[in-house]
Amino acid sequence: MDRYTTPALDVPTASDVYEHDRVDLELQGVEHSAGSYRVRVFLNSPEADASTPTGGNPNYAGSFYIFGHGPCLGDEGHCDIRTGPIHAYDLRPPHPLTPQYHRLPITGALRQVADGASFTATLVVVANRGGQYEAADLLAFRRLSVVAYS
Amino acid sequence: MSAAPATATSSGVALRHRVSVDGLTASQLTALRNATAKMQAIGDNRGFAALAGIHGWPQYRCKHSSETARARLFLPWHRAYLYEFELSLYEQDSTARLPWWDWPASRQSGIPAAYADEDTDGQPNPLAGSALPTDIPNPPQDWTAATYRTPADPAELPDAKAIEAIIGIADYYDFELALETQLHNLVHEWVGGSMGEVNTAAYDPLFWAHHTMVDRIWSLWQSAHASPGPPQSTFATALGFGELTVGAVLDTAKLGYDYAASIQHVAIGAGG
Repeated sequence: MDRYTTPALDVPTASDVYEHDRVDLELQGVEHSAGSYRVRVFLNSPEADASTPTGGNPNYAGSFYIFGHGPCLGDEGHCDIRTGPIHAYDLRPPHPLTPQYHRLPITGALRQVADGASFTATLVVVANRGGQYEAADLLAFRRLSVVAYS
Repeated sequence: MSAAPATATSSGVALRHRVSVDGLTASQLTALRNATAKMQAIGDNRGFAALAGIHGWPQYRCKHSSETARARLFLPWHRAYLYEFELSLYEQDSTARLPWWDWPASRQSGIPAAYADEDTDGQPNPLAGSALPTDIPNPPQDWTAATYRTPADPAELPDAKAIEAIIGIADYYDFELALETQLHNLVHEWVGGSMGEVNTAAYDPLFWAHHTMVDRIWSLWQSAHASPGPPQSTFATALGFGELTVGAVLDTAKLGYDYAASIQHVAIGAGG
């Protein structure tokens, strides 16, 4: 996908939002098997796209930056992700294409734009400028979470 | 920001000071170029391509983010990798050292001229690019013979405020994750081209200056927080470079280098 808007998310304990030290947006299970790209995050801006300004825009919360692996250069099966040890004595590290975890602090933007009990986050892919990849082919993740710390 | 004070190594040999790309003297830049060109011409395991191939194609031994956020080796692994590469530079020219790419200083003009200029003194600049492997089983249609870059707007490079903010993060793993996924990934994506893919990034000579900056930021964090970073439980973890473990790479002085903001030498007498 090249763009994703969350359903309405709860502003963490709305009455206490200003007391949180930090609110993070987490992405788990992020695919990174193509090229590098960035994902701009806008709060309460479901209409945001790659042309939406970031500078001076209070709804812009920041960006995720994904360092992509690039196309599979090996023989058949080279980029098939080995999901775990093949036996009890397999001490090899995880496969290089194991999906990743990313985190973006959104504390400041949330404080500026949250005017109720809920908010949305819109993720907009900006693809590598080399032109090898379509933005729609890049972003894939398993779970999005809002995590507050106080 | 200030770098950790220089100390002598246990052997009494002076530390090697890594300086910024823009802080290289003409002779230091010449030494770096000469050593890099010699490494690029070596086809065996001492050569540039062999070392680049540890990170991406064909070995893929680099350590980046994973699902296990508390068992990551991004900073120690890359410190060991830089150490191995710098020793190879040293073997070609004992005055060559790794410089760090000062991203904030490049927010107006982009990639430093030392790495961007295609030619120097009428010869190809070895820091502008390097050959890519040709013996791959499944080359994509747009595979190129040499590295290339597609840099974005220089103003998008990290500024000093962004670096200071990340150095201010107290928890080591929070700091490491932010440094990797925000600043480090941003710059790989910003350079684009070969640097924008794990497959080929380390074949671009700019990779080494980029990662030396990442390593310097870890060093600054260590000074600011009076802490090595990784927990003791990880110290015995091997990094895949000789006998180097996490514990062995925590102190840059024990690896023979530090990060200097500036250096002035005064020659006293002949040969000074």
